[in-house]
Amino acid sequence: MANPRPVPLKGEALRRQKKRNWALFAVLLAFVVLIFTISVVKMGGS
Amino acid sequence: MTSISEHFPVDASAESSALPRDYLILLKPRVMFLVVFTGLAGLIAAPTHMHPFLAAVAILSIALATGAAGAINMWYDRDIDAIMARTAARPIPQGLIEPSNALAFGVILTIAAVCMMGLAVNILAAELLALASFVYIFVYTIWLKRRTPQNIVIGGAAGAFPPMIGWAAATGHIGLAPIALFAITFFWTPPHFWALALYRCQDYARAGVPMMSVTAGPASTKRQMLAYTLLLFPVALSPYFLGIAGPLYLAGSTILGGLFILCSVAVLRDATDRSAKRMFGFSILYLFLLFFLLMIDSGPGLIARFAG
Repeated sequence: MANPRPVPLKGEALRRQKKRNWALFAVLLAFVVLIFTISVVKMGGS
Repeated sequence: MTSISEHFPVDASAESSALPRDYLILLKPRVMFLVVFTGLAGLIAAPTHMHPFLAAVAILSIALATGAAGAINMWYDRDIDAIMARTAARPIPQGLIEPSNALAFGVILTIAAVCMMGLAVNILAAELLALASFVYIFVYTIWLKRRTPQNIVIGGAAGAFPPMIGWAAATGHIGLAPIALFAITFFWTPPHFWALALYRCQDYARAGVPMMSVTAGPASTKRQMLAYTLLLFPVALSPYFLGIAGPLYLAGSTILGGLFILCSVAVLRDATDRSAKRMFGFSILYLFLLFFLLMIDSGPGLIARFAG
């Protein structure tokens, strides 16, 4: 079965998806920083 | 040049209208705040020192798991949320977030929070966090909420875990003191929730949720609220007698407990919803102030820490 053709987002819907993407990027970045800091603190023997 | 998002939309309707703020609402931030506050109190009251960053990670884990359980609750209850006036504006009934996305969001956050607690803090705290999520999602939301008027009495245990989790995060074990902190929130939950259920009785009845005020009527609910408030009084004093809180806590707890009982008596005598609304508001203030007092007047609490 063929995949349905993607429908391009426009206007407000596109703007909202970009906001979600930036939020997800911020969350992932914060997660990486958090895991890095936890590792440093744990390896420091605290 | 066009971005990937322009060519691969998730969905043309619901998902394309969700904002990050809508996902934040899924986490029930107001409930999360009080729960996290009690968790922080348990952590501070514990008679040990914890690395401040790991303490922050423990609190973050409690916050994320609490929010995630809220998101899964909103996914499961989306049918009754749409019926009830209090919950109809939530993101799923509003069509802002796809139910399956809310579920995935909640499950991923739960796993992340429990793993983070286990890896960064300790296994006991992670196990208790997982147990609290299990009780809230499976015992309260899925099993009891739509079946019995005792739903929030038993399910209320989920909201009582955070101070115990905070304590376990700091010490690595549990004993009588964290069980007493658990008991405070456990006995506080019925009068708190039933006060809301009294003035939202029609809402719950329309949605078919067998809250105590719907099945047993207001008079019986008010008597039971008073009974739990009376039981709560000595339980709330117990941290002093267990040696984890000082005289300031004892005095504050006595006054707050007395006021809470007065609120409950007022509800019992009032045929209107006014006293119930007042009691609901006071119940939140009660728990906040009680755990605040515990924070500042426990053995290694804030006063001792800052006074050196």
